[in-house]
Amino acid sequence: MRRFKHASAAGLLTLIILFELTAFSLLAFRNSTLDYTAFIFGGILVGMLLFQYIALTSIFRHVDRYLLIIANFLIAIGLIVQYRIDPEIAFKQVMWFGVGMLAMVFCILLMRFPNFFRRINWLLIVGSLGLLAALLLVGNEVYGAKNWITIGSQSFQPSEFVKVATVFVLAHWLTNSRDIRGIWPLLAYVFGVVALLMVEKDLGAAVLIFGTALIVFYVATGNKGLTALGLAGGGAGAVASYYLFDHVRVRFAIWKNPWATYSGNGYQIAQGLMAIASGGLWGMGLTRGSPKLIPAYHTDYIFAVICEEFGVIVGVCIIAFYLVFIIRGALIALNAPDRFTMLVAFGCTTLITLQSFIIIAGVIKLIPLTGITLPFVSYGGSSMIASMMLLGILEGVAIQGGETLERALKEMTP
Amino acid sequence: MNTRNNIKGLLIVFCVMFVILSVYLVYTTDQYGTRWFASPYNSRVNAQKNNVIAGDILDRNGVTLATTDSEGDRVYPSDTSLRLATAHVVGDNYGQTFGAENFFSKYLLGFDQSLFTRVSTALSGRPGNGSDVVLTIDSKLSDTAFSAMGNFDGAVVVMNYKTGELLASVSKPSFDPKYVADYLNGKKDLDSSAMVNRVNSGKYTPGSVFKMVTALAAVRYLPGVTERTFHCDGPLAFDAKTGKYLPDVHFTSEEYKQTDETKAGMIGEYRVVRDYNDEYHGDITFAQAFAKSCNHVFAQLAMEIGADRLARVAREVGIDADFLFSDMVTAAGSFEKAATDVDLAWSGVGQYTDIATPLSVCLLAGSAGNGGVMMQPKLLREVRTSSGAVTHQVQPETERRAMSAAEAAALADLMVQVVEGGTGRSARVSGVTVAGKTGTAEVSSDEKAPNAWFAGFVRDDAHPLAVCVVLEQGGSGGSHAAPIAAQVLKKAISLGY
Repeated sequence: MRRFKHASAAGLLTLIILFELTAFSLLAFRNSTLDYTAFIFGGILVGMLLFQYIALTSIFRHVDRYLLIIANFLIAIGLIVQYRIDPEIAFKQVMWFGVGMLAMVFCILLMRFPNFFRRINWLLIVGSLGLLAALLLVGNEVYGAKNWITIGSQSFQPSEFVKVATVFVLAHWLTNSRDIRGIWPLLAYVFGVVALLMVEKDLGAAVLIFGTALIVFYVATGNKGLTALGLAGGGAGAVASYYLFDHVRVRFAIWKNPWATYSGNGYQIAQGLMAIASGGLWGMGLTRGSPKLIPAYHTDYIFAVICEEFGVIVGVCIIAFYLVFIIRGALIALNAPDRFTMLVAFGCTTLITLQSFIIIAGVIKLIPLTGITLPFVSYGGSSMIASMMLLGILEGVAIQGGETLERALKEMTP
Repeated sequence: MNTRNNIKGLLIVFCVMFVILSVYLVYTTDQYGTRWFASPYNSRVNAQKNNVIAGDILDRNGVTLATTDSEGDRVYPSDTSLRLATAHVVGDNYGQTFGAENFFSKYLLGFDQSLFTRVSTALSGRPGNGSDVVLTIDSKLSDTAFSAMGNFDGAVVVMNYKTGELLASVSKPSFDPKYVADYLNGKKDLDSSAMVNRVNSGKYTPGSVFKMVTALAAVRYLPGVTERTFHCDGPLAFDAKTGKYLPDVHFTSEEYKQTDETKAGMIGEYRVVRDYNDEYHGDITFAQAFAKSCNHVFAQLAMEIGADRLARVAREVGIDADFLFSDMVTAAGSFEKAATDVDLAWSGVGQYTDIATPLSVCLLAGSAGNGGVMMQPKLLREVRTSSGAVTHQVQPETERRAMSAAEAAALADLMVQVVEGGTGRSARVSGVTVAGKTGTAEVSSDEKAPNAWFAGFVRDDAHPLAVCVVLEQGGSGGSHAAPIAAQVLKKAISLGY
C-alpha cells in the first residue's frame, strides 16, 4: 500500500517534469541553430526538482509533497520565461534557486528548534527595523522605491527578509499574550516597519506586511473589534497617503484609466493588459510573444508575460496552483505541533497568499498596482531566497506536525 | 480551539479571493480583450503584419472594402466615393482609427486561429493567411447616405433595430484609407477631425431629439400627461441671478422680438427658454407639443419631472452610457443634473450641457421601434478563415431594456405624429410609416447655424430600420436632416432591408 500512497503527487511530479522538458526543447529549437544549453538547463532544473523530491521525502517522511512540487513548478515556469527572454538572467536565477534550496533546507532544520526563533525575537525586531532604517541612508532607488541595498557587487532587497522575520515576531508575541497590553512591542514593531516602508515608497511591501500582521493578529486573538479597528486604520492610512503622496495618487489614477497616460505613468499597466489580451485564452505560444515591451517583464510583470505566451488558461492554472499551495499551507498550520509553529506556518501562508494576490490582481487591473514580486516566479535573488525560506519553514512545520502525530499514535498502540 | 477555527475561516476567505482573481482574469480578457488588443499602441499587431497576409474586409454582400495585393500592400476599392463612404468603418492600416482594420485585426491577422493552424504555419516558414472579415455594412446604402449629406459634415447611421446590425455608418468629413501614409507624413492635408468616426464618437448637443427622453420621463412619471393640454405663450422667464422659474412673468410679442442679440438667452432682465424661430404654439396637447417640438411645454415638463428622474431616464436609455460593445468603441454622452430651474429647463430640451452621440440616439429611436428593447449594435457579420470555414457569425444581442413595451408604444405613437403632421414631415416615405423626432441644436451663441438632427425608425416589422442623421450647422432638423433620413430609408427599403 505504501507505494501508492503518494501516487497523485508522483503523477503531478511527472506532469511537471514533462512540462519543463517540453518547454526547454521548444526553447532549444527556437533558432536555426540548436541551442544545447537549453537542454542542459532543462536537465539541471529537472535534476534539482528530482533531487529535492527524492532527498527530502526519503529523509523526512512527513514532508508535504504538493507544496514542494508546486513551488518547483512555479520556479520552473519563471525560469522558462526568463530563459526565453535572456538565458543569462535565467542562469543567474537558477544559481539563486540553488542558494534558495540551501536556505530551504536550513529552515527545515531550524524549525526542529522553534524555540531558537523565540529566543532571537528581539534580534529580529532590531535587525528588521535597523535594515529598513539603513535603507533610508544607503538605499538605491529602483522604479521609484528606495528598497535596495548594494554590498560589493550584490544588491539585495531587505524588505524580502523583513517580511520573513515579521512572521516570527508576530508568532512570538501572539503565542502567549492575547491581551492587547501585552503585545505593545509587536504593535510598535509593525507600525515602525510599515511607516519605514511607506517612507521608502515600497508600497507593495508595506501593504503586504500590514495585511499579514492584521490577519495573523485576528487568527491568534479572534479579536474582531481590534481587527476592524486595524482595518479602519489601514484604510485611513491609505486615504491619507493618497493625499500625502504623489506616487499613490498616480497609482490610483493609472488604475482607473491607464490609457489616459499611456505614454507616461500608465504605460506599464497598458502594456501588460495588451500582452494578456494578445495571448488570449491559449496564448501566442512560447517565444512568439513580445515580453520586452512591458517594463519589469521578468520581475513584477512576469504574470503578464506568462499570460501572453502561455495564455490565460495557464494564468488561471498558476492562480489555482497558488491556491493549492495556500490550502496545503493552512492545513500544515492546522496540524502544527504547538501554537507558536501554527502561527508561524499560518503567517508564511498568509504572506504567500497576499503577495501573489496583490501582484496578480494589480497586473490584471483588479486593484491598483503596487510593485511586488510574484513569489517563486519572478526574477530576483532576494525574492527567491525569501520564498524558499517560507517554503522551508512550512515544510519544517509539516515535518514536526507529522512526527508529533506519529509519536502520539505510537504511544496509543502498545 | 479558537485559533484553528479562525484559520479555517481565513482559508475560506483566501479561497474566495483566488476564485475572484481567476474569474476576473477570464472575465476581463473576454470583455475588454479585443479593445486592449486593438489598441493602436499594441506593436504586436504591426509586427504580425510582416508574418501574415491580412484577410479581406467585405461588405455584407461581398463587395471588397479592403484587401492585400500580391505585393503584400493593403489596397482599397478603386471607387473613391465608396472608399470615403466606408472609411470610418473600414479604418486604416496605420492604427489611427478604431475601424475594422484595427478593431478586427485579431481576425484579419490570424490571432484567432487555432493552435494547430498557427503551429503548422510557423513550421512551414511561409507567411500565414489571416481571416476575412464580413461587415454588416451595405456599401450601396453607405454610398447613398454619404452623397445625401451633400456638403455638410456630420453623421448618418442606419441599423436594423431587431438585430442591431449596422447597415450604414457614415461620417463626414471623411478620409481616404488609400492615403493615410501621406496624411501622416504631411504629403496630403487632412482636416484634423476627419479620422474621428462621428457616428459613435461624435459628441453633439442633442437639441430637440432629447425630447424623446423627456417625453418618456413624462409618460412614466406624470400620470395623465398624454391627456393634458398646455398653453404655449412664448418664452419662459427665469430670474437672471438665481435661475428660478418665474411663472407670472409673460412677454408681449413686442418684447419678445426686441431682444438684444448680444445677450443671448435674455429678454430684458430675465433669462429665458425660448422656441426655435420664436414660435408661439397657443393651446396644444402633449402629442402636438412633441410633434411641433415646443420648448415651452417641454421645459415646463422637465421642471415638473425634476432633475433626478430625468437623469435616471437618460441613464436608462443609454444617453450617458459607457457602452462596451463587442464590435466597436463608443464615446459616452452626458446628462448632468441641473441645479437651477433654468438649467433644468434647458437640459430637458437637449441643450444645457447635454451631449449625445448619433449612435446612442439611433439606439434610443430603435428601441422605441423594438418594443423598448435596445439591441447591441453589430458591425461584424462573419469571420471566414482562408480555407473558407466560418468561425464567427453575428448573433443578435440585447443591450438593455431601455423602456417598457407600453412606454415604447406611447413614444412610438408620439414619433409617428412628428412625421405625419409635425416638424418631421419631410421624413415621410411612401408605403411605410416612419416615426421620428427632429432636432435643431444650438451650438454656440454666435451666428453659427444650429446642428440639424433627425432620429427615427420605420414602424413596420418587414423593414425594422432605425436611422439617425446629424448635419453640423445644417440648420433646422425638419428641413435638412429629415429629408436625408427619408432618402436613406427609401434606399434601404428598396435594397430589401
